[in-house]
Amino acid sequence: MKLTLTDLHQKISDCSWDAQQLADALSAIGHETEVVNDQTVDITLTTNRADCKELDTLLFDLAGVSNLTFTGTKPDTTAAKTVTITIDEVNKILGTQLEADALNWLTRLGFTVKSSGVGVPAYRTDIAGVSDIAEEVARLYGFNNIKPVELSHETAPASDSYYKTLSVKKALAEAGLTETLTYTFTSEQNSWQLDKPHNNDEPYLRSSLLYGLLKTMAKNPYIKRGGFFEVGQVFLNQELEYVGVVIFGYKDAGREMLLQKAEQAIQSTEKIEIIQIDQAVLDKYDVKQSHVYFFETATKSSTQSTEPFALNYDLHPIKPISKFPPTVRDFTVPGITAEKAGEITKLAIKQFPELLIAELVDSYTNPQTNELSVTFRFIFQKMETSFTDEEINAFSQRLAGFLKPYGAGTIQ
Amino acid sequence: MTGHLHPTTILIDKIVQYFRPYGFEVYTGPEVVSTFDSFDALNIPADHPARAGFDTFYLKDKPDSILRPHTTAAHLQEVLNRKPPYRLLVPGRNFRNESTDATHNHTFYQIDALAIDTKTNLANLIESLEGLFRTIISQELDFRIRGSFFPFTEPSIELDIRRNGTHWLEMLGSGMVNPSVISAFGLDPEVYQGYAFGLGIERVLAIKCEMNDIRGLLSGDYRLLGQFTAETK
Repeated sequence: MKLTLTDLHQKISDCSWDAQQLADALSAIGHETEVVNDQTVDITLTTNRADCKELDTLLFDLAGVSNLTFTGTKPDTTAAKTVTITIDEVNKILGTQLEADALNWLTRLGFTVKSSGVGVPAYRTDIAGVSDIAEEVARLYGFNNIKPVELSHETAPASDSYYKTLSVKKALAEAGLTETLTYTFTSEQNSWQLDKPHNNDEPYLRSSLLYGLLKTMAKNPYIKRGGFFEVGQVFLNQELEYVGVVIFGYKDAGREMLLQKAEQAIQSTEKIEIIQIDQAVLDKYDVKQSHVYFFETATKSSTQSTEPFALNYDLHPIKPISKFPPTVRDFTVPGITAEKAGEITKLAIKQFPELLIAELVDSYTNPQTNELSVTFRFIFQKMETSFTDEEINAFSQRLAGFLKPYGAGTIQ
Repeated sequence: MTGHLHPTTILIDKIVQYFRPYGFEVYTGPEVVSTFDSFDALNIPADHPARAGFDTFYLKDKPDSILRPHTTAAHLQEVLNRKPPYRLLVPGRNFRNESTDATHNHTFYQIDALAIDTKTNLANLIESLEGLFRTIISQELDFRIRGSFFPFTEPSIELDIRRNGTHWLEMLGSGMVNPSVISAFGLDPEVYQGYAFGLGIERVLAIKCEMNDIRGLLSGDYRLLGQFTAETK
């Protein structure tokens, strides 16, 4: 419904609001509003106040809450029922310390207030009991005038399943894997099927985390080797929380080491079966990487810690992502100290605006010389176009030049 | 090797950590729930207009089974076995069969809070929400509370935030648990009361991480996922 300032000023005589102030006042009491122009506000009434479809009723309510003078035609304020209530009950719900006469504010909305309780006007069919009256008092007092009060501090009970799952996630990330979250819906057949799917090609609930992990790989064809994991619900003969791991691009020893780390992170009591994904499946999901290995297991089978802890991850503004494909280059720096390796990624991100991600992907200590070699991965992008080959080479040389002082040998 | 956790996991944990000193327990319920737990027990009968607004995914050949449209649905079965006082957090995935755009997705995450005892009140709710947003978004925030309507809370409020005097952003709906819902929990509403809220994880991430399209969170794009690494202190 539309409300003009002319209507407003006609029916609330002492109101001098402009359209924005009118919209804000209506919004404060639960209606959705949009300023159409400097004279008109469009209103979508809050679900439980159908009575306000009558313009006079809406303005009567608005005038009452705002303590202004209503001069239009009042709705039927005959008391239709009585709610027995005291100001103590109102204060208990609101957490306020209002005096008894606060109940008298209700008369501005057509309620009658007696020592025996509050008479509810006939037009307010939404008022049923004590909590509804408390809400009316809060509207009249102003929600923003309620002084916040801190909850009491208490000892938190154990939250075993939450912390077990979080421990699994943290350990997998520490093993070098990246957490992804993917959609529950799939084209892979399952007895759990949606009646009306969002996408007709994906009417089933997933029976495995594999499909989403393969889609994640397909989304990132430029990551030639690495690992992703997901923790989420799968729908087999029952709904269960699973953890799934996919590792790709590594050959033999490297793969075995990463799979072992992932298994150790999960600490499952169940035997974990690692499968290599067939090329036909990879093709179906448009996965470009090779040597793809996968396993999954129920998180309830994990013996990971259930002790509470806090993650040491920070949330920060993300660097914008270009719609053009990124370029990825790995650099191995020999003779570097572990301390320096940790600093490099942060310094590189600060120094090169083109860098989206700078991270450590591998390290090797020569057993004879005890010399550390570290491989960094740099992902860089341009927002307005793709890099040319010449630009990639030039940027790679700049990165190599940046890394050179940190190592003791030839950068590869 | 550098590994990464999803920003959804990181944010949920930050919220859990904020509420832990106040005695909140965390649990996660199933994603497939009954229509009774999702709607009827929460004061949304079959003919209620709010029920249509949830755009629910129903399962084929499983009468009355739905993908939960809100994490509040997890409360009923959990609290039926409990005696107050209790304070609970339910983080998790929800589903609504609606059109997707930069600020909406059919699959999304919420964290639901429920605090039930004989004294938790609206002033406590307001402090909890303001304290939470100051902790996870910014200490420099203005707050605005508006009245609202939700079938499962009464009184109901919405909280908006504003940073640096810019425009107001709607953050969430919340309120005091409706007495009829307290009854559905098997409790006497003349004795017990408490607050509840449901916070959209993507909404907070969009603000905190300055993301302009929340669908990126479920895209698996390493260029996003790779930007969240453990702090080295």
